Amino acid sequence: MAHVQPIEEQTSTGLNNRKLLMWAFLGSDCMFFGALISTFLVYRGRSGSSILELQESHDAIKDAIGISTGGLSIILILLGIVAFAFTLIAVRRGVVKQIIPAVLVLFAIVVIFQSIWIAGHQPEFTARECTEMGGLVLPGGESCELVIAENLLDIPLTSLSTFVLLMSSLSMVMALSALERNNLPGFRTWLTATSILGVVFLGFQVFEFNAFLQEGLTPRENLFGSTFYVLTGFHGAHVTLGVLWLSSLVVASFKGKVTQKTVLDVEIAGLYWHFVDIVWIVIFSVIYLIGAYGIG
Amino acid sequence: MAAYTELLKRPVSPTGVWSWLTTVDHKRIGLLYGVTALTMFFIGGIEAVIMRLQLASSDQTLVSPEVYNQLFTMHGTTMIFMVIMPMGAAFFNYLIPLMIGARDVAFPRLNAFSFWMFLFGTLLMHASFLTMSAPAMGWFAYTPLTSLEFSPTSGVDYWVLGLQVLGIASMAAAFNFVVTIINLRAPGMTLMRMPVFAWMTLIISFLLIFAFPVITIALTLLQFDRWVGTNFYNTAAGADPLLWQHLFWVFGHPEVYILILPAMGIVSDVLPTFTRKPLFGYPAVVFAGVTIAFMGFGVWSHHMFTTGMGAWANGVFSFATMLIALPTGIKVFNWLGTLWGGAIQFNTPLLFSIGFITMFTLGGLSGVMHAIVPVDTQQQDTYFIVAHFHYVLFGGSLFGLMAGIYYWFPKMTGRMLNEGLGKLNFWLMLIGFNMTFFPMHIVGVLGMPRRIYTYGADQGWDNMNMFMTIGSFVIVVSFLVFMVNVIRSLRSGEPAGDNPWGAATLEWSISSPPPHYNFIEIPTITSRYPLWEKDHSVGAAQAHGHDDDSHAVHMPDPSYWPLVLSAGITMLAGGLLIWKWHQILGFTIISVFGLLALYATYRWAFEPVNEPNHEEPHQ
Amino acid sequence: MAGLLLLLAAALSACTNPQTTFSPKSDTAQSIQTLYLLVIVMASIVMVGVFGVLGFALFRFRDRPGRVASQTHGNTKLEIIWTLLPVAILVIIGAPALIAVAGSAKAPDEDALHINVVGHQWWFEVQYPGMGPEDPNNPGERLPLITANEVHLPIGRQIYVTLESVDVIHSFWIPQLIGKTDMIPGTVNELQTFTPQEVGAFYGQCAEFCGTAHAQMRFRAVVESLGDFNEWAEALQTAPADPASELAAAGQTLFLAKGCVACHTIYGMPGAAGKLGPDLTLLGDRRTIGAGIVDNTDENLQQWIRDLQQMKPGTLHMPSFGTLPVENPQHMSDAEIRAVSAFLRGMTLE
Repeated sequence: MAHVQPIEEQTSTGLNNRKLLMWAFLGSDCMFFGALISTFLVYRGRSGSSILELQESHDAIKDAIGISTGGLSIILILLGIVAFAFTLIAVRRGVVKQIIPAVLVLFAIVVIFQSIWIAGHQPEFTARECTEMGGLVLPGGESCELVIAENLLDIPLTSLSTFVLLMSSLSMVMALSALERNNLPGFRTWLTATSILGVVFLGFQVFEFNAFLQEGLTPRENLFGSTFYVLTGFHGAHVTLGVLWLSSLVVASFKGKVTQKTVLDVEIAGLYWHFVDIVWIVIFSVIYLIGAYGIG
Repeated sequence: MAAYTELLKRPVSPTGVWSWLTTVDHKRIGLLYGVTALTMFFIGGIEAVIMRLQLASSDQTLVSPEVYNQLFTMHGTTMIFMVIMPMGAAFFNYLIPLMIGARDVAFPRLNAFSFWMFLFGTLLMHASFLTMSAPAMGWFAYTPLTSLEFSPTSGVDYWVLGLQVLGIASMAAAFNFVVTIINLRAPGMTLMRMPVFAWMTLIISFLLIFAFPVITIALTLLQFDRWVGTNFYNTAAGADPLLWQHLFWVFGHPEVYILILPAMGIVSDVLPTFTRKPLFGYPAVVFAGVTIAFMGFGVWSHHMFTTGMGAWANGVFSFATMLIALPTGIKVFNWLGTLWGGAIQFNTPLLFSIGFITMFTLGGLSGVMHAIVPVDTQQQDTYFIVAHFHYVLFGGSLFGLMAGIYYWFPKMTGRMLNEGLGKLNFWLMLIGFNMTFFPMHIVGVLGMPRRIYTYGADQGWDNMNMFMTIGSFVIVVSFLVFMVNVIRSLRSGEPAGDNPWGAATLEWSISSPPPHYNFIEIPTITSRYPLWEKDHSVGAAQAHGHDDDSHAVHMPDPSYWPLVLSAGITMLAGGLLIWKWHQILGFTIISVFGLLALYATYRWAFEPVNEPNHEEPHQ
Repeated sequence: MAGLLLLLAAALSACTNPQTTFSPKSDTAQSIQTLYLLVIVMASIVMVGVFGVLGFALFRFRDRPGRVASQTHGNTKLEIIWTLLPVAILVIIGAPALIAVAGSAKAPDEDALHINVVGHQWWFEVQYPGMGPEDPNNPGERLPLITANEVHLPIGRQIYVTLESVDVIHSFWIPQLIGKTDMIPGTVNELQTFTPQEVGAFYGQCAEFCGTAHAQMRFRAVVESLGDFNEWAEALQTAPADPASELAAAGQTLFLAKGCVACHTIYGMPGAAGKLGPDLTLLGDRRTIGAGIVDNTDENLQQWIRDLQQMKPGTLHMPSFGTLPVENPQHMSDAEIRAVSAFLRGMTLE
């Protein structure tokens, strides 16, 4: 009697069952994020009555810096994604060593340039404008703190955390590639790095949440507060889950449960991780770039 | 250490309570789904009968308005999420691997997990009756009526959390069946050779995957509003009450097709068997199903014609809704084409299928009426709508599912249901159904709004309502006949044999009930109706394999972890409920069961499908 | 068949079913019904066709000894035919439907009567903007004329209704005059314009589930001649005459003393300017009480004041005065309730 193979190894399409499951899940997850992002967009600019009057004074800002900055940021992000795609291809083809430093430098340039550009174009308000907009004039009358929603967003800082998350995708690719070449120490190093980068991203998020709460923007404050915390928090939960998953794989590799033979386990975790990164790019564009300056 | 491993040793016993609690066998899970769904049908039916008694004549005070509102909310929620959906799940769990020639589903433990989540979600929602605070806002729970301000009791909380748990169950099952149907087909079982029921299951699995996330998010936002105090549905903070309606119906309309497509699949498989000829226009039926699924995502706003969306939106959604009648019509015409020229045997499954086609046609036609916006402004939220969706969900889905029960009961139990009682059951149900629901069209036209617990004698709706209430008791009698039939058959039914109906699809090639491993040797398929091939090679191969080879087939071992994980997740939801009443206790429960769920996840992840030490000795 | 039954029901029901959708009394309701009948006829044709073919097939192809099923797999020509045939039917009903949808967006006429209806749990507040008394804070501007649970409409004049809600979603519907449109908090919705064509009192009801007493959130639409309408509108902004009887005078005192005025307005009565509950000006002239649920009789009104929770369970804010403990200052004895009822019902047009 022939030995019957375990169910998992024979499939009609040749595609592994668990991998197919992960793709189905990611498709479904798109709908989760889609619903949340739609909610955010529907409620954009509806935060309280004062926002209506704010709209007029914002118009000038939009015209002056909004379009240029937001547009530039989106172009840079798109460039980043293209560069990232090239990297993935390069890694697949095995020309890793040469390309990595180049991409790292490219990314660094993109983000730093972007941050400087935006920081240099922060809107300046007179004390009167500031009060009209419902903000607080800081001592000395030199700068304006707006408790109102979108003006709290710190684009340079979040660009940095976005960069961190994108880098983690890169190290994820490196980890997988190391395992495929049966380089276990390399695999552990890269995967640990990925987890740490994930934790750093979460750290940025905690810092940002905390700063916002300090400013008085709670989830109950207005519609922006509600949508912002739930959307970014939902993404943060995905990252947390990913960090747990990846670090579990690192631990399991020490027990000999992750080897070249089970590379599929890592590949599936990688799929998830890349998805979470890509979703963040969308969220970053929607909340920070479009949301803040009203592009589109 | 030894004791520890001993304690958590994998369950092995093939019989007894633990074998059911830890089973990963798709057939057992299918039966569990079926029995639970029938139990819930009983509960939902009682709710309906109480409502009918209350409405039998004007100004009745059998139940208070609060209780009546709870009854119709729970009746709708129960029948949709805990009866028709799981009854479909019962069939596709039991049948899909048999139909496509697989030994089990792709992820047997995930399958067990989805059943337990479903059961616990059901229990969680019904626990609201124990605290006398069942949800009372209608099954589509329009905001802002569901906000803390207007619904301060915990009914909405139970409903939201119960639906979240049920949603996880449905999505887990859907992922599983997408992978199973795409990946586990027997050699030669191309997609276009699959039974139509398998196709419809594949389609609804995709619908579930893409539609459920939207309701999950809508519910999560409501949860945040009610637990944290966010503003998603707070009109005072500028929120738009229509956001909920859009999110709900983006899910809700595909949900309608999730409820009806399994029945369409069943009928498409029953008709060929009892007409002795292949399904007419198989590709048309399949692609009509696919088209319905795609279009189902584009018509949600026809539930919102009276919300003042504007002429453009109304026009577009009206147009799209009329279009969706086309693929539905194609299905009906192809069923007629299947009957045409056949040698029709009037067994109970066929009778229920005919009932399905006629009642569903009526429901579909009244559905087209709702697509006409001006007409809909007179029909929306009246009993005309109630009549329409009962013709689709009861006359449609449920008649189809009944056909399925009569058709596959012999396969599942090895015993035939009594034909005489079956026919009595059918005719009573058809008559009772039409007595109850046809007059609803008329009272709807006469202006009776839905969801009213009472009406004045001046409205002139008394006689018709009394007639409907009498009709509902005919339905009750028909179900008693059904129960008697089932119990009699289980005790002393005529043995069924492998293929009592002379059907053509793969599940009939094996014994009834099928062995644990389904197929001793995975068959090779060469046509859509393998058992109607000249040489019946598929059946023959199976018949020979019975004696001593069975122990050589490796089936996945049972597991505790699906049960533990689903219990953990459900108790997380329970902890959230308790949180509102006692924060520290709630927090404790959430932490304890959160950790338990995490632990169960890890154990599950590192648990092999088969324990190595269970290797069969002769290998 | 279904269509015939529906028509039969409609014919029977014109007088016995006051809330019927099949006895239109306005131009818009009439055009809706024309469309309705067209759809019913087309649906009936399809139904008869399908059932006819089905019945014939079931009889003709029933299994008899020696009958062999023909092994057909399908027929492309047929598939095309039965796709195109429904398309034709859909065009027949769809074209006029879409034209009607486009027409529904038409702006109201210049001289249309504007009415703003506000939904409350569980009653309707009716406002006629610019028709009320002069605004004391804004000379030259007129306040809205306000009433509750009864919409007065002049016959033959186009009516333009805007809809709002202060709490949850309600829906405004007068089956014989106009289809329903939802009243959504935070938004102003517009009802399709219509012109009433027959004098009478028509039933209306909230059609979107809105909580405990949803079933008892009703109203009347009173269509009357322009003269009657103007007289009514004038009376609503005239200070009421002194109570005609001693009983009614005692009732007026009680109306102030028992705190009714905290929630209810009576135009021209000093101290009665509450906004929480329905405006009670000219209550004696209304056809119903309790948001359209019972006829406006002395007995019903007394019962309402005594124990409204029994008549309309769930009613918010208002106490059942007769069932309060005697030591509660708001408690009313039967005699007091009689007096208040006499006072309220005494406010009529004459």
